[in-house]
Amino acid sequence: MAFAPRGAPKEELLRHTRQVGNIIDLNKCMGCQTCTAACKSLWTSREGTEHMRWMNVSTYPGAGYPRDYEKMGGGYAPDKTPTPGKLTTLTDVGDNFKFNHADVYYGGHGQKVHLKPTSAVTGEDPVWGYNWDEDEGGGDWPNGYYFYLPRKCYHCADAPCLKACTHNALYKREQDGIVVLDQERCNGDRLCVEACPYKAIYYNPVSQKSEKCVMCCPRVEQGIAPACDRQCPGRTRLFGYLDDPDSDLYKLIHVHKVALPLHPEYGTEPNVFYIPPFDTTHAFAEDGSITDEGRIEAEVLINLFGPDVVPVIARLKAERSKRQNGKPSEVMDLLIGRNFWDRFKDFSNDPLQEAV
Amino acid sequence: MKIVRIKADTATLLDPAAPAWGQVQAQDFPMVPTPLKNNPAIEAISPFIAQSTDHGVVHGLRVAAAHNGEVLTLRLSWTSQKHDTIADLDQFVDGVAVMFPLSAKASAATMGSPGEPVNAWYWRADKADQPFDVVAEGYGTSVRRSGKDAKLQSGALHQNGQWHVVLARALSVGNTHARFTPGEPTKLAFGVWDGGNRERAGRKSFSGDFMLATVDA
Repeated sequence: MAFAPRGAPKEELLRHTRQVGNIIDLNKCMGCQTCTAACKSLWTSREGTEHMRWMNVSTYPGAGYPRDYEKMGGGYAPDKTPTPGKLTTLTDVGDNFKFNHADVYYGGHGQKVHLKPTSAVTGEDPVWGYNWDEDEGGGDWPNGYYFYLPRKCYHCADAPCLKACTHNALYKREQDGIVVLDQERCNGDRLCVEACPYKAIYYNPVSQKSEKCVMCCPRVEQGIAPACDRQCPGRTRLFGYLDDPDSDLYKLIHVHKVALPLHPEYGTEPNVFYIPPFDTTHAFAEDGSITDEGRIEAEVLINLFGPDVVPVIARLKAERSKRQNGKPSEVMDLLIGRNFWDRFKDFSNDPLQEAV
Repeated sequence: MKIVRIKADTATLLDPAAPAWGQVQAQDFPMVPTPLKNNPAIEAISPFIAQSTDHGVVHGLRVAAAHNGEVLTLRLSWTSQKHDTIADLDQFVDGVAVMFPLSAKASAATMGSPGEPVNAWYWRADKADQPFDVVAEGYGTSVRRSGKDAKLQSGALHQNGQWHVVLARALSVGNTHARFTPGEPTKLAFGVWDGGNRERAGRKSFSGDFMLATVDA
């Protein structure tokens, strides 16, 4: 067991024999939030978790979720020195709006009263919330653009949350590398929240302990893919063991090399990978004619996925043109995922069948 | 320092404003930031907290200590604004703790070591009437035990920019908790957390290694 009840060297807590992970195809995500809702209804409907979205989807370019997480520090410098980080506020993680439901439905005001959110933080009109900047995006007219960025805990190989906790409450599960936070050991010190550059850990002010995505480990133990992955109607996700050469996941990451981690410069070695978005919409030229170029500026994607994103997009475009010219392309077949279950391989069990 | 015998019932002593405390000579202890930066023992526990340099803003603690033959009481006072609620996710609360050795060789600076445990009474401002009992055998091993089971009691008052906190416990509640015997000395050390400065865990001020305290017969 990587879990040590009285604490252990960090190397021991990081130890694992296998690692599960994801690919998320950003060319297919349509921002429908089905993954968010799946996670929310399964994991964060308890008191004190109202503001949490372990799985979330935000619009990029944008402030992201939690708000401005990319500007809050955490993770490591290139020499592995820890980077100090900031804590999120309730507003940053989307507030917890109160609504005048009783007044609207039972107040007898007819059409005079409308449903209205109130900030749980200020008691006033909200100034920020989950997806407040949805679909605003970036780029200049007429070449405006945006894409959706689904995020959850990345179950990092060098998890800074685990390294930061002075109580050794966080550890990687030996059998699958999932990073979990032991609620018994947690003191609510939030050193993990400061250390996580992705801000994928959330403080519960009721239990006074922190919580995070558990990669649906109870489901994973029964061969069921995590709820967010399985519920995705867009087939954007692959889930499985990252060391299984027969899996679609492995082929896309290691053989075809078209999947990249988000913000690799944070130095945490994430285990969720992305197929970068390209050619979201064709750009207009100065004279108003339509070009063959996409609208997302290269530097935007380099900022997100590192310099490797340039050759990756070139590879993806080459594979796509193979298919356009009637030639086979394994990459395109894997990304299309005609068979729903290929994307989950060992984790294709049905939660309703497995339920005890 | 001296833990004097006093003729006062425990309920009286739990009130930090009780006139009885006027009879007890208080002592001032300088408090210093815990050495986190460039500390290999801390690096091993958390390389992130080992980056801390702006903690330990409380520089002094005034302590008055008394027992009435049944209960040991400490009145702890320090200068601080009041931070006693966690209304937002980035907020922390004020706290104070007194630590005792559970074995002869236990060190306060390391919070004990394997086989050489320490025992602490830990009060925090958002749970002002129910302090925690803590046991530890080195950095990163502290475990909170029920303060109720340890029969720990507290009283607190914030006035004129100062906290006054009383911590009280029966002289003996069993072998796994610090024991006090009138006429025999004990050892103690202190820690203070300033919530407004995001102080928690190792981010605190402390009084250094254990200091001798006499317990009046």
